Amino acid sequence: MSELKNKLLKKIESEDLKMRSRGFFVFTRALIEIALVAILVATIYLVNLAIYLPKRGLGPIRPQAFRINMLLDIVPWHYLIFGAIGLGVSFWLLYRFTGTYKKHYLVMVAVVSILVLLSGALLAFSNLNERFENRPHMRGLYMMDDPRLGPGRGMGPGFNRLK
Amino acid sequence: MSKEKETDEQLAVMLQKGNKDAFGQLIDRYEPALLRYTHRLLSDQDAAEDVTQETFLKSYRDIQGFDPNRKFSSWLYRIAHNQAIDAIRKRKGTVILEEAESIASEEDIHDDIQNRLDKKHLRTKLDTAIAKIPTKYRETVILRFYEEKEYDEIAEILHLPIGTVGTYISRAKAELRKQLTEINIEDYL
Repeated sequence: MSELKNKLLKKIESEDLKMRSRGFFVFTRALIEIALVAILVATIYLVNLAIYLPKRGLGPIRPQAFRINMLLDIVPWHYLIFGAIGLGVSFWLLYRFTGTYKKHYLVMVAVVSILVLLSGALLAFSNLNERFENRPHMRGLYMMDDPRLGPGRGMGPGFNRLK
Repeated sequence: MSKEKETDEQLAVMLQKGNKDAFGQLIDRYEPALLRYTHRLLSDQDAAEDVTQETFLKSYRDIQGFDPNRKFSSWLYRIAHNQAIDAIRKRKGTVILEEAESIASEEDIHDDIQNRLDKKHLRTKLDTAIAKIPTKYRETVILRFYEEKEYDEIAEILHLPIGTVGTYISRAKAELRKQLTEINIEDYL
C-alpha cells in the first residue's frame, strides 16, 4: 500500500477527513442558480429603466429638436453602471458554474449582452413601467434629478395646463 | 464482477454510497498518473506530492458532488489542475527548472545504453523547455502528449473551448520549437 493511500485511509478512519453531504451540493447549486437568475432579472430591469426614463423624460420630441446633450443629461448613469456590474457578475457565474466555458467566452459575453439589452428594451416599451411607477414602494426608482427641470429651467409643471 | 473490472465511475458511485475500499482503488489507479501530471506541471517533486494529496483529499470530501454521468478522470484532473494552479500562484509563478532533469530520469532500461543516453538527453531538454513555456500552454501539452488525453477531455479539465485547446497546443509547439531550435531537436515535435 502506498504511503499516500495509507495516510488518506487513516484520515478517513479517524474521521479527520469527512465527505460533504449531497444536500450541501444540491443547496450550493440551487443557490448559484437562483443568484444567477436574480442578477440577470435585476440587470434586465435596470437596462429597462435606463431606456424608459430618458424616453419618458424627453417625451414625444420632434427629431429636429433632439439634442444629444439633452439625452446625456437625462440618462440615469447610476442604473447603467449597476447594470454593467450585474452583467459582469452574470458572466463570471455563467463561466465558472455552468457549461458555457465550452464556447469561446466572447461568444457568451456577446450573446448574454444582446439578450439582456433586447429584454430590457422590450420591457421599456411595454406598459410594465407605467404600472410599476405608481406603486409606492417602487416610485423611488422612477424619480430622476433632471437638470433641465431645475428652478427657472425647463417647461415647468404647468406647461401641460397652458397648452 | 471482479473489483478490477469496475469502471472509475462505478467506483465513484460505490464511494458515494459509503464504500471506503472504492476510494482505495481509485487512489491505486490515479496516484501515479496524478503525481506524474503535477510533477511535470510544477517541476517540483515535493509540491507535486502535496498537490496530489490535496487532490485526493478534496475528491473524497466532494465526491457527493460528482456526477456519475461525467468522466471521473476529467473530474479528478480538474481538481488536480485547480490545486496545481493554486500552488503556482502561491509561489508566484516561479518554476524550478533544475528539477526537470529528475523527471527525465525514469527511462526505459531495456534500450541500449547509447539509445538511452540520447533519449535521456532529449527528454531532459524537452522537459526543461516545457517547464519554461507559459502555464496555460504547458498544461495542454502535458495533458495531450504525456497523459494522452483527448481534446474534449482536456477542454473539460481546463474549462476551455475545444478550439482553444487546439490553439494552445499549436502555440505551445511553436514556443517549444523556439526553445529547442538551438539544440536542433525541433524535428521531433
